[in-house]
Amino acid sequence: MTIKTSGSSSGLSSDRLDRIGLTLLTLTVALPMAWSAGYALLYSVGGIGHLSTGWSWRYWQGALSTGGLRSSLWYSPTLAAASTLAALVVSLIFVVFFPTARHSRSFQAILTIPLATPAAVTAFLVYQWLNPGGFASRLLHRLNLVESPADFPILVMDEWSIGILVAQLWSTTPLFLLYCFKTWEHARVDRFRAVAEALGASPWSSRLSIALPMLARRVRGLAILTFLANLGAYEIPLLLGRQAPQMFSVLAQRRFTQFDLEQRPQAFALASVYLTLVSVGLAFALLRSRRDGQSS
Amino acid sequence: MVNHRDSAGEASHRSARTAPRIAAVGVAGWFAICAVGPHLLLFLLSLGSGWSYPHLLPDRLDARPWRSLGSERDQLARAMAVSATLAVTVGLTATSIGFLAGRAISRTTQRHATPLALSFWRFITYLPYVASPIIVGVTLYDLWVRCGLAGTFLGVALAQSLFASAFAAVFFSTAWSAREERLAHLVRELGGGPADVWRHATWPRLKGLATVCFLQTSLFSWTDYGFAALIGGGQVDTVTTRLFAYIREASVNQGALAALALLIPALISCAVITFTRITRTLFTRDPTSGVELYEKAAARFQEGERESRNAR
Repeated sequence: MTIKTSGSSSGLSSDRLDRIGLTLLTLTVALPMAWSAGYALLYSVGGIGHLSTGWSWRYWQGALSTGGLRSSLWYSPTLAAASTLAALVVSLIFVVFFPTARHSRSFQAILTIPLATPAAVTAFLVYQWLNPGGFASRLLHRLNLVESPADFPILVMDEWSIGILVAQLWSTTPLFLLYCFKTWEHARVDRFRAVAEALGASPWSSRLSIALPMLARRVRGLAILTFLANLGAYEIPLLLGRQAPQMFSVLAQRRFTQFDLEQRPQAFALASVYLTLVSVGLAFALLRSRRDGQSS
Repeated sequence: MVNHRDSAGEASHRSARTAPRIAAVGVAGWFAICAVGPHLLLFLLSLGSGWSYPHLLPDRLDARPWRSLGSERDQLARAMAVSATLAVTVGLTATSIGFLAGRAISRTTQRHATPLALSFWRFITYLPYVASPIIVGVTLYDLWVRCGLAGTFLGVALAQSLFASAFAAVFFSTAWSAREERLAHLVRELGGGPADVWRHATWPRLKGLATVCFLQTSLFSWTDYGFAALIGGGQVDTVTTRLFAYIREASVNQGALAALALLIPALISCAVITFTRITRTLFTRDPTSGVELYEKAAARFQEGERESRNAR
């Protein structure tokens, strides 16, 4: 009798704890995020705001024509996709060609260093290495390949965003590598390869036809999340990017903090576009991972 | 003759095996140099003052940034203290909220949630994971101003906790399994109340998870720049805002030291998370170890009961 009562009472308290947990999550995460999306949208169409003169599309038109939204709309996703794809390709090639590297704990330990490096430090490091007066330029000067900073190619704040790409590649490649190493073990790729080789496949064809598709299929979810994280990158493009075009975060922050208050609704238009893109991308990633989970 | 052919074949087979190994070591070595090498520049730059072209080392190796770190007027030391306090506050808040929220999500979805509800909670918790703090900061700024939180320590801590709590909820919801539920049920079946469930079933499993989650969420706060710069509005001086201030002032050596100050705790925490026993035991999901856990918990609980009976 005692057991039953205590069991039910603690079960009830567990339910109460669950309700408290979900309420806390709603208050601390769901409501602020809903506020963010709603406030940005309403502000961008003139519904609210100190200088609001009523509902209007003029802020969106301003953002699209002179506010840099149009250029940011192609620049941010292109750059995020390029750095994600490059990191993914480098990692897949490395893991498929050298799968035994996954056994080395020291190699894995070294890979965690760029992962643990904060974005602000990565940006600072890449700038100090690659700017025309940076460490790489000084090394080349020692080798008599460069005479002055002006001879060094422009790799930061450059037209092709090489500095941003290098920084994002440097910080995301280890993530993909470690994930692929783990996946190789969890998906028992070696076992499938052994079966293929027993049926007559060569070691190379088993790597390319068995291991590569298995890894590529499982890494898709992480690739989408990395793309979304790169899309919202701030510190790296702030320090290594040009004045125009700019990535979403940098452009939104600059529009928001300008003295001209007329520019603020444009920042919210940018924020609305960004939050929509991220929400759609995340929903897609979660749907994919659910479908993958169901199929496997 | 046959022996010669055999040995030649063996040698070629051996060389065919060693060549990829050498290539693997070479490429892995290159990756390792790329991962570690750039950081050495930070140490070099922090050891002196000035860095004029084309010198590889600072103009004077006087360790000035390090010597000024302890002085009363040094802004970096103060920023480190603010960042550390923020990190501990955010870590504790997010771990507590994340534990309750993650546990609730896991239990709700395991028991009776529809796929739609599951997707909704996953979406809500993952959104701050991928969204940019600076853009969310832009959209929350006016609300924070109205609440009198903009430009305050509490305002920055609350904004950072928003993201950190979502992370902690994801962390606990994936780590909380049916095994924890069965263990709690066992303690209840043996007559234990909520306190006993907490002491014998939940806490022994939770402490490792909580340590990792606390480190991760504190790290998020320690390395955050978006919220600290925007919500802090220059009033809350953290290590990241200091680093950017040094970059704007073109103080390369001070900037290198600030970057090191940001980096070292991050590396230590990462090493702790990755290579300690906590993580290894946490993520080893051996189905037989559940039985051991049941037995241990039951034995521990019965022992406690016996002791309290004896005391009575």
